[in-house]
Order: sequence, then structure tokens, then C-alpha cells
Amino acid sequence: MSAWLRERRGILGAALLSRVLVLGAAAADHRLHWPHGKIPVHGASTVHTLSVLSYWDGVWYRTIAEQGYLLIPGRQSDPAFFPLFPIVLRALQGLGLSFLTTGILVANCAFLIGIVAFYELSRRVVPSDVARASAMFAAFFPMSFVFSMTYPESLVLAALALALLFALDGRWTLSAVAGAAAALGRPEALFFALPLAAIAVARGRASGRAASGRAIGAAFAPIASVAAFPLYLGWALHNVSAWNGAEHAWGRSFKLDGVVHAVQQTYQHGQSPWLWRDVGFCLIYLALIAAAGRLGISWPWLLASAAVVLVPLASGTFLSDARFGVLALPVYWGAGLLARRRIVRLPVLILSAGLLVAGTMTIPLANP
Amino acid sequence: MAVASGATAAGLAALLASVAFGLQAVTLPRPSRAQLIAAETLRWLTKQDAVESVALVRGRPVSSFCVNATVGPFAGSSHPLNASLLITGRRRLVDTRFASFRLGSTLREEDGPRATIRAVRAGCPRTLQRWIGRFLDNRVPVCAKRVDLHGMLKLRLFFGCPGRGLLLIVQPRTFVPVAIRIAGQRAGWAYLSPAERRDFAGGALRLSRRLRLIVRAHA
Repeated sequence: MSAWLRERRGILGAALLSRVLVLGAAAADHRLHWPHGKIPVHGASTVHTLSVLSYWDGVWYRTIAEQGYLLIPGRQSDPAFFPLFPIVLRALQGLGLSFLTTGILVANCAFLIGIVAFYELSRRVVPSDVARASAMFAAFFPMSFVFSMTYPESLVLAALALALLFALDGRWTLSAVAGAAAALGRPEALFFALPLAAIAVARGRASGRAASGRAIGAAFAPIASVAAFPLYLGWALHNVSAWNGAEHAWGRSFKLDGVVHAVQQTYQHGQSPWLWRDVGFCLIYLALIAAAGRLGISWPWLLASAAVVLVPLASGTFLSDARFGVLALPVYWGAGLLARRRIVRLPVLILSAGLLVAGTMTIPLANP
Repeated sequence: MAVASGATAAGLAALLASVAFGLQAVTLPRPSRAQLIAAETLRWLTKQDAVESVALVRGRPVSSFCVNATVGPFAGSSHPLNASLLITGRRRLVDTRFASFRLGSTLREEDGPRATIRAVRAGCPRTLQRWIGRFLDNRVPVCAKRVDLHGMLKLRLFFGCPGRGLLLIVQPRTFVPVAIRIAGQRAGWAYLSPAERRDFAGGALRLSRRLRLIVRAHA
């Protein structure tokens, strides 16, 4: 155990240091009352030192945990948000902590597990030096502050990395459970059914009939789990399409020409300047996925991660694409490859850490 | 062998879907029946362009007509605002999310909530949507009770909020609102019915061009 820990000390240290930076920046925001004026998020708490980490969608996840789902026609409402994070918050209610404190604890603990799981996964897919650099980049990635927010991203990162890791190790049942959990957190996890299926086909046959069945089952687990959400909404709200209805009210209805609209939106007058952050990160993600391709990562992985980045654009906007892309795991392998050499890695990590702090401090200004 | 593998895969996926469903069902609270009825009423309102209402004022029936409209754009904004245009006799009122206006040769902003309350009582689809939407957003308790209205069985919804309660009588199956009353107000029930959209794009509602404010009815 101590040898295991010693080998991963650097990765765990990087993950912890990155969280210290994020939590410190959030506390500084609170302490300095920055930005001044009324907070832009309706219903968000301002009392907690780390309350900035519960802004934006965090308010909706808290509402679901407290009150459950309710589709409110003609308005933005909560069935647009997947249920894993509220389920975990509700399950931990017995600890006697507020939803905000529980949410921040869950998100940050899941992030630490997620980074270690991602490192283990990377060691099986890419050379070990790239695996190490990739895990470091995942920890300090400028948008990784969302992993500390009361959002489900860190739970999904951990579950997704574990699902793929277990699949590569041939532990299909565990892979299925982790894959199902990931897809219950964010719908993007569904795309990783593709690499899971590729692993299942490649390894399942070799391990016998029952194992082959479980391998295919593991590939289908995210799909089955996603399907359970509208079924639940059908039962609770008497409306199977409540998720679609809520997404529509959030301006997230998918259309064939959505990508064209997303591009057109970038040069429309009066757009938020934060849109350019999302456009920039979208391009960075695509470049890093292409770089990951140079490592010999197979096409199902690349296609799944490209889908994570590109499919949201079909809703007609780049908004929040910077956040959605943090779950496209091969992005970090691409970054790890490009900054493989220490002379490149260190400055890039320092720059990333600076942007991570800046990103955290600007949470009140724009929904990530 | 392929069939056995398929059965194992399907069994595992079905088991996980059931567990995912069960977790949601066991851990997350469900909305009350009354909240779901209110949401259905809201859905009906989102599909309406115009509503007619009749209320008793000093013992005499007074009809109002309310239609969805747009107003503006105002200074500092490039887009027109969604609004409700309420017509009661000669009085015309424009209600938006941010302010209400009396419509004469210009738009004169009305102080206080009275204009909005008038629009709610007249069943203005957008204003009423906003009110019910806020109640549901804030998860204000909603009570549903069967009542008899002129010999017909209806449902009465009460959105309980200190000082701002709303009573709504809806059809028991379609949840279409038929009567409305605001708790704490002296005014009694107003009776609602869906109305045909009328074209108000004529000159009567065109305001001073200098102000660049136009109120027009639209779908």
C-alpha cells in the first residue's frame, strides 16, 4: 500500500495543490467581496466562505436535492439537470451538513479519486511519462475549477475513469456500475459507451461466454442508465419528455443546423465576451484530441471525446462548451504528449495554474 | 452462445436501469399532485395568445381582454420586451416583467404592483404565467380541492404565499383556468375564457414615433 501511494504521491500532490488553489481563490473572492455589487445568481448562498463554488447550476442541483424535480412550462426548470449529484447530496444528508458543504466535499473528494483513476487509466493506454503529465494537466487544467464546484463533473470524471479502467482490466460488472453512475451524472458519459464497446469486443471474446455478455452489458450500461432518467421523470412528473422540455427552455434544443447557428452567434452584436472563452476552449480541445490521435489512441476514444466537445454545439451555442469538454479524457493525453518534455511542462503547468485561479475568481461573472 | 451473451448483457443493462430508476425514486422527493396540476395549467397558459375575463365591479359585470404583445425596444436595449396588453373598456395597460405602463398617447409607468395585479386578475397569459411560474419555482405550497362552481365540479388551486396568495379554479380534467382571485384583495372572482387573437397593429396603438415605442399584438 505504501509503495502504491509512494508511486502516486506526485499525482495526489498535484491534485491536492490544484484544489488548494481553487478553494483559496474562492475564499479570496468571498473575503474581498469580489466582484462588488449584487450577485448575479438568483437563490445562491453568499454566507459560506466557499459559496462562490455553489453558484449557477449549483443552485439548481441544490433545489433538486431539497425539493425534487418539477417541470415548469415556459421557464427554465430543473429536469434539465441529471440526478446523480442530487441523489448523492440527499443520501449524505444524514451527516448533518448543509447541502452546500456536502456538495463541495463530495465534488473535491470525487476529484481526487477521479485524478488517481484517470492516472491509472492513462498508464494502461499511453506511455507512463505521458500518463503522468496528463494526470498533472487534468489537475491543473484552467477549467478544472468546475470539478470543485457543486456540479456533478467530478463524480462523472471519477466514474468514467473507473468504468474505462475496470473494462480494460476485464472487471465488467464493476465497469458497468461505474459507467451507469457516470451516465446518471451527465449525459455526455453516454458517448463513452463507444470505447467501452470497443474494449468489450476486443477483450470480451477472449474471456468466455458469461464474461462476454457482461462485457457487452458494461458497454450498454451508460445507455441503460440514461434511459432510466426520462422513465423516472415519466413516473414522478407524468411527463417522459420533461428533460427535453426543460432543455428547450434553457435554449438547449438540438437542431441539425445548430452548429451553423453556434458559429453565427460568435459574430452577432451584443454577445457576452465570455462566449469567446468557450470558443477558445472548444478549439483547444479539438487540437488536443488530434494530438492524442498521434499517440495511437484508437478512434472510438477520439470519436467519443470529439462528440463530448462538438455535440453541445448542435444546440446553437458555444456557451459552456469549455465546461463540457473537461470530461473528454483524451484531451489530457494530448496535452500530456505536447508537454512531455520537462522544459515545456513546467511553464505550461504554471500558466495553467494561474488560469485556474483566474477562472475560479471569475465564477461570479459568468456561468462556466 | 451469442444468445446467452446477449441475454447476460440485456439482463445486466436492465438491472442497472432498474437500480438507477429505484435510486431516483427512493432518494428524491416527488412534487405534489397540486403542483403537477398547476404545471399543467401553466402549460395551457403558454399556448394562449389571448384571454377574456369578466369580473363584477360594484355589482356590474366588466369585461377585459388581454393579449400577448411586445413593447419597445426601450433605451439601452436592442430587443423588444414581451408584454401583456390589457384592454378594459377605454383603459389600456401594458405589463412587462420589469414594469407596467398605462397606455395613452405615451407609455406612462405605473407605480406599485396594482397594474400587475390587474393583469393577473384579467388572466393575461404572460403575466399569469409569470406569477404561477414564480410560485412553482419557489416551491410555494399548492393546495388542490374539489369545489362546486355553478353546479359543475371543478378544482380549486391555492398558491399559499403570505400576502401574495393566488386562488385559481380549473377544469378538473384539462386544468384550464376558469376563474381567478387574489387572496387578500377585496375584489372577488374573475371568470376567464380563452379568446381569439385580434389584430391591434393598427394606428390606434401606435405611439409617438419620437419615443420609438410601439405596442403591437402578435402571436
